Amino acid sequence: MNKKEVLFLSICVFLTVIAWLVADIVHTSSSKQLDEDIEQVTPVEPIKLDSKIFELLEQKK
Amino acid sequence: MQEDLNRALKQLKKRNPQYTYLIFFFAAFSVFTMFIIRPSLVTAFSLMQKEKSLVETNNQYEQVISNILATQSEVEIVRSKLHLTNTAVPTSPNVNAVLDDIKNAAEISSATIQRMNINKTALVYTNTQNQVQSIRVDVYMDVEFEKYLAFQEALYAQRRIKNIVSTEFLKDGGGQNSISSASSTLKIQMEIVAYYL
Repeated sequence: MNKKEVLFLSICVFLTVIAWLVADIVHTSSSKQLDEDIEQVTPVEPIKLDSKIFELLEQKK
Repeated sequence: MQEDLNRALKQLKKRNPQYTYLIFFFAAFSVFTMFIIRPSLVTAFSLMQKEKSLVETNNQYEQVISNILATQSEVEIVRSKLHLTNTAVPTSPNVNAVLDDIKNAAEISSATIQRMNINKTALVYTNTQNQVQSIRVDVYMDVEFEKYLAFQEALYAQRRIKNIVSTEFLKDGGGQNSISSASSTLKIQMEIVAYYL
């Protein structure tokens, strides 16, 4: 194996490592990091109470 | 001859170090990237993603907390009147109370109730879906039209929520006029629905 071939091989290895690095970063950026200790939020909708209904009920016997 | 050989060796030495340097550079940088740069960068991006996710979760929690506070302040305003809802739509059928209410409405309007039928009502039940349930009462009465209207008004004026679902003017088998009697009294069948949770 002459030195040119070794150089070509080392460039290939280098490019593979760079591609691996980029793929790893892209994967890490796109995947959602969830902390298991933190529970997911259950959405709570605000409740509107109509006070007129209570006034109406108060008038009734 | 010897000089030529020496010259060739010098030229070879001159050319080869370039390759050696490049090979060494790529090999060293590959190892460096694989074992030092990659873990550091992955950790940094992972932490950035985690921070983003935590900020998002924090915002969701804040939204939920503000919704709960808004609901709490709404409830606080009507706290003293909350018992009214229990009377209007109680948690149990309270069939006797419904019948009493209908009788009271009839007394107020001077109407005469002939008969009351309660449709099938489960007294032992589990309301797992938290839906409004209903009791259906068929009321048969002989009443004048004005008194019938007064009965309706008295029934709707009661706090326990009830609804007259249907009113039927019954045919009387005896008289010439099949719906009303000689004294302008109507024979009425009503289906009244009361609600509970």
